Amino acid sequence: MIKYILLTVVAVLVTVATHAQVQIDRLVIHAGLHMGGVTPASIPREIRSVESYQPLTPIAIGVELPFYQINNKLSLSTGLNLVNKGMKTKAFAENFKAMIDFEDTPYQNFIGYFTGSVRSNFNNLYLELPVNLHYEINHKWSIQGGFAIDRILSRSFEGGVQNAYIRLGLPTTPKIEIDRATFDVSKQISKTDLTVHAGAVYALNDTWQIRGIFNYGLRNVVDAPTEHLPIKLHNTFLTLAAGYVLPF
Amino acid sequence: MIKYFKCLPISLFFLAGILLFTGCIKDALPNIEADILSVEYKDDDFFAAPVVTNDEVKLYANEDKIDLKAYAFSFKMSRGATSIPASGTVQDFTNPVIYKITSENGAFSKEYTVTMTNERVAFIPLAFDFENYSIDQYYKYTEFYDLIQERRIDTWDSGNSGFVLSISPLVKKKASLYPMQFTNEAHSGETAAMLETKSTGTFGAAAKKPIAAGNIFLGEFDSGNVMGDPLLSTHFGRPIGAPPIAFSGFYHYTPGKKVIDHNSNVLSNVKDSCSIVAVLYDSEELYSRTKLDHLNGTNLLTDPSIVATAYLYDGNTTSSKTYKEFNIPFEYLKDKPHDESFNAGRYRLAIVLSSSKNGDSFVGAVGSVLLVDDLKIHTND
Repeated sequence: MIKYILLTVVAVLVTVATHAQVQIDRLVIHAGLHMGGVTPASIPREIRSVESYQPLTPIAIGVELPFYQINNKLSLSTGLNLVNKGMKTKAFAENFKAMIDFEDTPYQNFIGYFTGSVRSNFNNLYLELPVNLHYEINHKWSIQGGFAIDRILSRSFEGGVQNAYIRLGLPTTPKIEIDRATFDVSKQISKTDLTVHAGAVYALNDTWQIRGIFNYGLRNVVDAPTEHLPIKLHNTFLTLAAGYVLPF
Repeated sequence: MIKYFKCLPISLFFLAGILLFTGCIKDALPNIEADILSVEYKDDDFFAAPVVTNDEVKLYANEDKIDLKAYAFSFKMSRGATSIPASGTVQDFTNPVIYKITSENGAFSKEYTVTMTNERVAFIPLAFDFENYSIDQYYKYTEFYDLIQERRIDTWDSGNSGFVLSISPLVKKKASLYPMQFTNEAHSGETAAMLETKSTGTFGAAAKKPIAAGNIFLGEFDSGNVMGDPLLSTHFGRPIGAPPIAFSGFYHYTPGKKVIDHNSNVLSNVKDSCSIVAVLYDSEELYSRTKLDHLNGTNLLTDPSIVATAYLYDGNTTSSKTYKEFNIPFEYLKDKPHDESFNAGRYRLAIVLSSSKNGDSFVGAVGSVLLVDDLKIHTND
């Protein structure tokens, strides 16, 4: 069985090799804005409003290296990107059920209902190794899609709550008012992410291009037990960049 | 067509932004809260702002505007919640009225006791027999109150509601877990107040607050501020209608074995003692200076508004098994105000009892027990 699979793989490789050309004839240097959020794939119904949003160091730079021309329309590329995924948000949550730790009390990992404003600041710098498949629609337009392995270089997730209250155990117990409290759980940011990309590139001329690429992280950004953070947060960002084609 | 495509990346960006931050906010879940949030009223209906807590509403009616026997109490509730009787229906508030609020999703409900008074100054009674108490419906701690002409009036409070967070959530709540509780070992009648210095456990020790002294006082404990400074949460004092001359009562005290300080270090050769204190103060003078009309744990014995005091100095072990009587004259630090100046509720009396006299600085012995009963304030009348 394994022998047949191996034979098939070899046959496909030979076919591809004879019909396509392996060539590295250019390099694309790109830089631009990288904006979006660290958000749940579906915002839970307890989040009633997003009171403010601001991107934080929204920068992406990188090189793209086309290394394999499958045919005159399709090609593969790799590269290296430095992207900062950052945002500042304030959201209002209502009766959000979560595990709560009350400092200096035996109320640790206790179920409570949280109502109030939550400020979260994410600022994470990733080094990204992408693999993309490109399809050239015409000499101006091409689309691309692929995935990347992201490794974190620096991470920060801190924030606070404001004008909030917590009810312990049941939603009918007395409110415990919390005027202001802060948290810093930077260490709980996952060190790696696996992202998928899809986007379009428009060539202004032979040298300059405009690139718009959507990025979605498949892994939960915050590595916390589900009971503590019942929602999964994903890197959801869009890169809007200028590309400079450097032929060899 | 080309022009349209040129804008594509930019429109994509905006689209993503909109989707992320607005498009995903869904309709709220059916609400699970069952609160009375606020009272709807005309300013001149009430002589003081209504007080709304987690299960009580207090209304202060202007006699010439509102008929206590037929008042349409209107209030705002948690989104979607319903009430029986309904908001805005006419009720007789001669006695407290119970309102049952049910959450929008139907799963949670809560009963509010709504009381209404038209007495501008609720003077404290001059004798306290500790025969009337209720047990908090959630946390099961004891709350003493007094009756004047069969009507419940607010007199005593304690730090019990602040002690809730010191009890493990895994432990079933009961009255005896709290620093202030009722006891059947009474001097007279059925019950008396029992104050016991409790340990706040490993978490309390870590916060350098290893003990909670049993306490009861005339006034209010700000239970909304349990995460704040406990000394500021004690609002001491209630209006008194005549100048006090003496403070008497019955007590029994058994100190705990080991006195510890805020670092949980044992203070050898130190014996715990209780504190029984009555302080008369001028709330108008206090308010004009501090914008607060009550004394608290930081200034009970030192504030310039204090007019007279009566302290029990020998708060040590009572040897006998029975209660010991005390009778302390008030010592006036200023000229004794005229009787008439007491009519408007300007002077307030704070009676503050504690099972460890240095409990305010978290020094005391776990297990110190103070029993008190039949307190009396003597006036000229």
